[in-house]
Amino acid sequence: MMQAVKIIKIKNLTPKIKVFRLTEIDGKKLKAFSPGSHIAVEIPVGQKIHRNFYTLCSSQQQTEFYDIAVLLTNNSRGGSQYLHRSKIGTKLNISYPKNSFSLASFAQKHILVAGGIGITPYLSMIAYLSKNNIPFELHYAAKSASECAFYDFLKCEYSSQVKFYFSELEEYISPEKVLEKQPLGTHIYLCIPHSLRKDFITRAKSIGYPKSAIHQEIFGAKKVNQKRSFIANLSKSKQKITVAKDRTLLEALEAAKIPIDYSCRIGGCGACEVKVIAGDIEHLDSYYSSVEKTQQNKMLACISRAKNQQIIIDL
Amino acid sequence: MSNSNSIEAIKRFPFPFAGDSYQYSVNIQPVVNEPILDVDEHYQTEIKLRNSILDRNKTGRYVNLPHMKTAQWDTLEAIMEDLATHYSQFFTLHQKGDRWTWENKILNVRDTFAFLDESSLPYEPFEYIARQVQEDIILLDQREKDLFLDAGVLTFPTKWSIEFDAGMSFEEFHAPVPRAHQMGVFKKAKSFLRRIEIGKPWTRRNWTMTVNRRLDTSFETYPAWGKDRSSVTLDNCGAKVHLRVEVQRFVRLPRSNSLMFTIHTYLISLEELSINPVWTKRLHEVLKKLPSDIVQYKGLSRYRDTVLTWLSQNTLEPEYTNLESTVYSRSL
Amino acid sequence: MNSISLLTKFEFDLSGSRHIVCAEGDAVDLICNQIEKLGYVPENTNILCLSESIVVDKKLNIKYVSTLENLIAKLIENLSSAYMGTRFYAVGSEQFVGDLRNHPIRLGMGSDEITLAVVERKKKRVFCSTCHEINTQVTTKIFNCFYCGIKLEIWSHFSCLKNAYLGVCADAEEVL
Repeated sequence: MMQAVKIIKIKNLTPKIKVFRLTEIDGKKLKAFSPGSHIAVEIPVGQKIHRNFYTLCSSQQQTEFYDIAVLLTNNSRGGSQYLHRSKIGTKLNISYPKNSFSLASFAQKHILVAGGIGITPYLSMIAYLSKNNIPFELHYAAKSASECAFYDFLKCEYSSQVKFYFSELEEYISPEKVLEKQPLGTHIYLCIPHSLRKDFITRAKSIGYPKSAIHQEIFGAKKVNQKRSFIANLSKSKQKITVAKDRTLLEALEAAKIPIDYSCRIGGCGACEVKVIAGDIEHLDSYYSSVEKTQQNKMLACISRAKNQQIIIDL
Repeated sequence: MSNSNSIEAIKRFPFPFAGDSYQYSVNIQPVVNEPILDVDEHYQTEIKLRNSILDRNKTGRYVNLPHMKTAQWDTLEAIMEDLATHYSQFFTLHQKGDRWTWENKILNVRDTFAFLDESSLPYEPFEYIARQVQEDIILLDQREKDLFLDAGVLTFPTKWSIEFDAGMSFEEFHAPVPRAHQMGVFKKAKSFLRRIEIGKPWTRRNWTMTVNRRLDTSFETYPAWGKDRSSVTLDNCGAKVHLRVEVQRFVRLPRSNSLMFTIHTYLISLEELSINPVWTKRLHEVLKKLPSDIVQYKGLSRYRDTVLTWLSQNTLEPEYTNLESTVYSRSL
Repeated sequence: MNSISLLTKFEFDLSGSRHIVCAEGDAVDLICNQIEKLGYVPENTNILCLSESIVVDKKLNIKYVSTLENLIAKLIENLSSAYMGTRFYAVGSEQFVGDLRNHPIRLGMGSDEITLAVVERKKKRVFCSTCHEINTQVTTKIFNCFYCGIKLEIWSHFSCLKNAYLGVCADAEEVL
């Protein structure tokens, strides 16, 4: 589901981070969202459309607009560059909000750890936490105050709960200090560079934080490699079905009038399961457990593919 | 309750079987361009019944754990928007910032309230809206990679108690269902439900049978209706025994990230059902092949054989009718 | 609230850095056996034992308490001053374990920080699905609800929030 929006405000937060305010083109309400949610923004790059993911950093109380903060990067597919070149009035297609980094609803205290642009998901969270009087601490590492997005805002609104660490001043976060002597029911959230994240997780485990109290942001869907065409040999009906690279096995079977059950068509319900007699399967579903996937004897026709050129199916 | 179905209601009955056998599967379809909730000819009767059940004794029928406040408002918003969009002749919603005016012309209700301000409504937001829909509503809190039954309005259950099941995880509240656990069905269903997105609702159908046209087959009233199951004879079977279908819908709630699960229960007597010979034939096939533990779980043990005999005596050959196409275009 | 499976044997969860153990009567032996097997007492271990007879055991530093109320008060005191890294254990009858399980949960502990071991399950708490009252000390599969008089059958369905099994009318479908 998509929403059509336009940029109504652009603000430079740091030399490399801009915040964009988006409203619905016709002035309607945008979809409400939960703290920690993100959206996909469709970015036209040449003939193609890329989807870039950005967390919503406005408060969930606000459904008139969304704010997203965008860091200019060189390596990417050009999404951040496109946005940084955009002007007020630029129209964009964005997805409905989605949450893969939500607050633990039963936690007694939340410790949010941010590095650089990793601050973005926490803005909607702290708005929610402070409104509901739920204890939290925000630990925020950046190069310097001038490269620290939302520095003034955080310092002014949440001065007692936020601690800044500026590497230029040789201030560094100590996982030990942050994690030790925290009350029962504390949950930690990590949106920080890989090496610091590893230090945090190691330290948390040695103190005895359970896995369920450690949250890390995981973005977007599983990346599918370039899809290739393959041939499905049907052992019972003795047919050879070619599955083109832009088609699914289920679509190819339907086109060949082979009776097959289906339901969700997104690899989630299991209705279109087929038995595989030979050939390696590239499982792309979210239905099977990892053990079932390694058995390599059944697959979901709506989404999964053959790893190689051929596969033999019991149909 | 004695409201039988009109011919139109029979034609649009959500018959649950696409084939001739019964199978456990997640069996779930997207809801596209249609309402989440159904307002049908039984609306007023069923709202009256729901209100009388809630007014008599809310404990056991209404559960709402303290952390579900945001989800309550989400529910109210989702339902009001759905009804006002799809049934604009009956329902209107005016939103001016946080000041909302809701009108329900069928029940003659018109209220202006402040969104997210509980004191501006006569009930808690969840109860307020639940009293204006035919569906039972369950709210599942999503946390710890699981779904927890943390709120609900349940006046038309099939032998389960929301009072008892409150606070349970997805697999815990499904514990009494036979078979499915060994097959890993609930694990898979749960992982599917957890990934449901805002704006992309899903639906599935569940079925059982009920003796007499009774929606409230709860544990609370079981001592009063349990004996009905022993009252089925070949003579009264067609009028007494009903196929009971739950149309369930799953909706991601945006503010709370909870999952709303609505259950609309439809009842059709065997006599009404037999207007469509394809249905009688299919029901006969499914019932005949139904494994004994499922027969037991669905509470059919005492009258399944009688129903089978009745169905076999009242099944015409499908060639004699052209009803199927009419009915199926709606139900599939 | 959280689903925690009931175990029949006791083991320390050594990923924790502090251990608060509650035992009922003789169940404390299970803990002592486990410590013997380990060869050491895990660091920061506090054992609370509900028992009428008080045995002095300085080595394991076991605190004996004579009533459940006092034990719960002591437990809450312990938990309130505890930090992340703490593990909670309850060992005893199903009833005892059920009475304690919701205290650490209320203070924010999750299912992976809690171990529940049941050594005796003869007496059950049963929720009457007709009148919603809870019958305690039930020892037979079928019994009459103490509150509404209805004949109840105990199902294996269990609610942590109620700390009770489900009781369902046993003869609703029978015609007299």
